[in-house]
Amino acid sequence: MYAGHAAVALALRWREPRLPIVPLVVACYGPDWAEVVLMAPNPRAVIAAYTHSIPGLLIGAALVTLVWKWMRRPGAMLLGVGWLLHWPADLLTGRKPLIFPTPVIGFDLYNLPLADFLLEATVVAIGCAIYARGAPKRAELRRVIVILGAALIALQAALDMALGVMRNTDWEPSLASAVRQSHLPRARVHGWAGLRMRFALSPSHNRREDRDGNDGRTPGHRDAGLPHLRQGEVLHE
Amino acid sequence: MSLLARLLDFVAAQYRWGLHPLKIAVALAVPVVIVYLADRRVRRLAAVVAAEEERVRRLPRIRRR
Repeated sequence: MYAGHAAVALALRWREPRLPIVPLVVACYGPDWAEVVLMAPNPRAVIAAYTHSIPGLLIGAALVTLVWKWMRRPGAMLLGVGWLLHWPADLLTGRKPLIFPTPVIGFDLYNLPLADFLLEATVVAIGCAIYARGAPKRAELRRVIVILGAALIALQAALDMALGVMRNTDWEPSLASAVRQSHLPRARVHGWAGLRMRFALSPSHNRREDRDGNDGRTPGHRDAGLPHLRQGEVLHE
Repeated sequence: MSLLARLLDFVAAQYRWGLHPLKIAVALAVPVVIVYLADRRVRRLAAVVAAEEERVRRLPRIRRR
């Protein structure tokens, strides 16, 4: 989830108006920030399996709560709750680990960008509505909150459009698999392809049959939009 | 090329070139900045509204009419 985490922060803010919004939003994106920081020494390292697992999540939430409590600032518990809510939110859009790096579970809506956009836009609308309850009922205030929601939704739209163009993997929701494979029978995956294409806004070269019939080129490449040349081939525009 | 098309092309290019931690950090910072700016504006407007209501409340009843 992307913009939805900010909406969770806005909704939580209603509970404690004295809590500054920036620490709350950062806490709601906490596991992602932890991943970025831990990836800094080695950008290719797969850290998400640890920062987004339930033990990692509990440790992060406990740390941020204790630090905020130690600083004697209001809303320490809300920071911890925001950190913990990251996992259920990501469960809807991606596939996240439970305790160990595998298995990963989730509804994997990132591979259905339109469904992901609709879900996150709904979460943003709800978050902004709850946030608005804490503000005086004035038109100019409502206008700012509407602009805030529109900006977050636009941000999400940009991400989902990019995902729709770039993703070339199938939708693989998982609640129990220990390996990365679809629960759908093979034959039904082909049947779903048309539906998936409509959801995914993907270009035709992302279809499974196109990728499989790739006459010797590496399948599953992630450089969509670039010509996939074999050694010695020359691109002529 | 329209501004929206340029934006989408830019975002897609970030995926195409690979996700570096710095790019993820920028992507994570954008919603934080948006929410911070909006919240600051809301708090300022709320303070103005509260001050106005307080000023009206302190006025003598006859002048309020």
